[in-house]
Amino acid sequence: MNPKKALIAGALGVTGRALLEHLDGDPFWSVTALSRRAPDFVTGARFISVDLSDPADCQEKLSGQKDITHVFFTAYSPRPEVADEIAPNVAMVENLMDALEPAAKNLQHVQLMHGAKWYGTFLGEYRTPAREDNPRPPVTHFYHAQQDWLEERQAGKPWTWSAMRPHGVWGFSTGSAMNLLTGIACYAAIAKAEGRPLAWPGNAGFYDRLYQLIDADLLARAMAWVATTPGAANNAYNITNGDLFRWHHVWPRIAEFFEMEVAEPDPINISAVMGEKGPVWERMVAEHGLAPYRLDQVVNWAYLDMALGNDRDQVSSITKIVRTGWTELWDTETTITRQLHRLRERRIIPA
Amino acid sequence: MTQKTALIAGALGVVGRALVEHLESDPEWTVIGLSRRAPDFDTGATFVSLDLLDQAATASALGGMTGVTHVFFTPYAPRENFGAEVAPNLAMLVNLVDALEPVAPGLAHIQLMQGAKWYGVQFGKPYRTPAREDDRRHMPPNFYYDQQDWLVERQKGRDWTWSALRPHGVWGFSTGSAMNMMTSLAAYAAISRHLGMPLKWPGNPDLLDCVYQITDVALLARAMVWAATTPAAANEAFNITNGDFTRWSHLWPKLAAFFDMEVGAVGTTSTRDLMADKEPVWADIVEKHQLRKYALGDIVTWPFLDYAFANGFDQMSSLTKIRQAGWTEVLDTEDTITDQLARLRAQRIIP
Repeated sequence: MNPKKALIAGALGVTGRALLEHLDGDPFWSVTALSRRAPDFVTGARFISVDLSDPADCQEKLSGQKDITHVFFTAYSPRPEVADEIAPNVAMVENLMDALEPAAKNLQHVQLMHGAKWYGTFLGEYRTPAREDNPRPPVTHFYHAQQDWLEERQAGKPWTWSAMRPHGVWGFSTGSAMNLLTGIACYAAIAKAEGRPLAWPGNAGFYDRLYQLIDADLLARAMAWVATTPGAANNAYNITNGDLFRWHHVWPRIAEFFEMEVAEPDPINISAVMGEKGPVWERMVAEHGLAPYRLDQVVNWAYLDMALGNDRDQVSSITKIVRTGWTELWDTETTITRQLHRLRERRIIPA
Repeated sequence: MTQKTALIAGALGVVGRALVEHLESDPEWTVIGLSRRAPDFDTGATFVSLDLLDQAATASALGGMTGVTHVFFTPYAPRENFGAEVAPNLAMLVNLVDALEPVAPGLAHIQLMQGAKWYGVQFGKPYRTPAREDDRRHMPPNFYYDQQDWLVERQKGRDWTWSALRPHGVWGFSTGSAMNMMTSLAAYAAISRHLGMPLKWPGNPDLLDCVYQITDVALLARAMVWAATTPAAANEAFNITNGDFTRWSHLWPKLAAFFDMEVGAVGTTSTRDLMADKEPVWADIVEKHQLRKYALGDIVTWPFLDYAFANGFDQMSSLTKIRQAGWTEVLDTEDTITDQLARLRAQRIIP
């Protein structure tokens, strides 16, 4: 095995951070991580603070990264409207590649981090199980624009590309735009602190719909596998834990973890209700000696409203990646409690 | 590799027949098929005509089968209600094991063929999905429970092991069997086409958009052998399907395309009533297309098709257990749904 050098863009988001931790422990990999923020944890990776939306900053910070072999692009620049996300998110990839590609002569692979929004989840109904070759939704998402751009850029080049389309990423991060785990964990911990039982806060119908998660650590393994497996090159892949579940089956497991009673579903405007819990969280941090984060640093309630707010089965077919040779399947119920335990160990939620 | 001898009970049913075909070409295996009927096809297997309900005849027929190492138990004695099915279906198993066990010192494994009826799919009401092997049992009667409980008890302290497979939506060819969805559907399509009709959906309208699963019978045969010969799978029950999920609304256009037909409207009907007078139509089709001379009644079981298409809820089995035990094969149902039909066409059984 040749040593490989990963460049992780967006290394403090939920997927970037999990990949960082996965590769950090692998002697065949060394890691350079990009983020606007500096890490607030110990890592063997080299961090570069760069603004990917700034071409000049990219040139200055990245044109010297000659030995990068694999790029994992997980950065995301959110905008209120889907259409407005296209330009800035394509520009970030373009700025990175313009700076890096001429210098990195051994570049082998560039991977994009996408998700089920590719299939139009943001429009409500989409064809499920979603297959990678589903017709594109009528509204273009920046995922489509990024992949189209990268495919075109790759034509005739010695490196290959891939795109991952996970759904329901379940892992830890702070300050990121999308984190389901911290959202649900903090919702439960606050309900417990306020002496309430654990009621499902999302869409009532969604409680019974099919859903899927992927443990961020499993996603990290899949990312590395796809980026280094020749048979997987130049393709996009759905990826999940590999099973399906319904929240109403799993909700009691979450209640057990927090030692709470399960209540009837209580659909709420999560951002409105939970957005006011900052002071409660501050008291909890003090009382339980938690890591000193503000609530809005660990949770984006609007994301939770979006993720739990629809009333459709959310199902991706993972047959393509399995038939390409991917064999791992993680039991979601196990995954859910495993990551909650890790949050507790990190003192993000009370013991 | 040691030489193995399979005793396949119910060897002309859809499952047994596929297993005969899978094993007879494998030099490691010698195959003995049990059925009340004689096979109407060429086979390298030894066929013994036997009614397993006849205890004396079973003892006599199996008394000399000293070399049997693996029993695959797939017969089914249908009765007028679930309660009445228990005694005969248990008796067949008891008669076989009582007759074989004392004379077959090399007996290594006995495998039961079950299905999603373990989870109560037959009651026409939603059951917990995805169904897991350790889900709570529904209220009896269910002969699968009696058979498995009896076999688990019988196995205690023995050198052989047991297993049970729970496929759903078995998709393959057989004649004269109590449950065959594929041949019934193929005949329904061929007759519709012959009469100038589009391919109307005859089932519950709600089922079209529910989640469904198919088990290709050739995959099932491979899984049966895997479960019967893999130490990690011993003394366990496993769900098995193609490994993906789909909806009939996705499959129906593929089936229509295979038969070169238009997709028709929803035309919910009792195929049992609708097809009651179609034997002469089928005879015309056989004549026109020079098919093998099967009567319609030989290849279809309309009540089973009506039963299989009646449920308006998701039907899903979790494959987590078998995948975690090491089973890796996954088929893409949308891509492979017509493979078994193409075999039927090549064998001139359908036009």
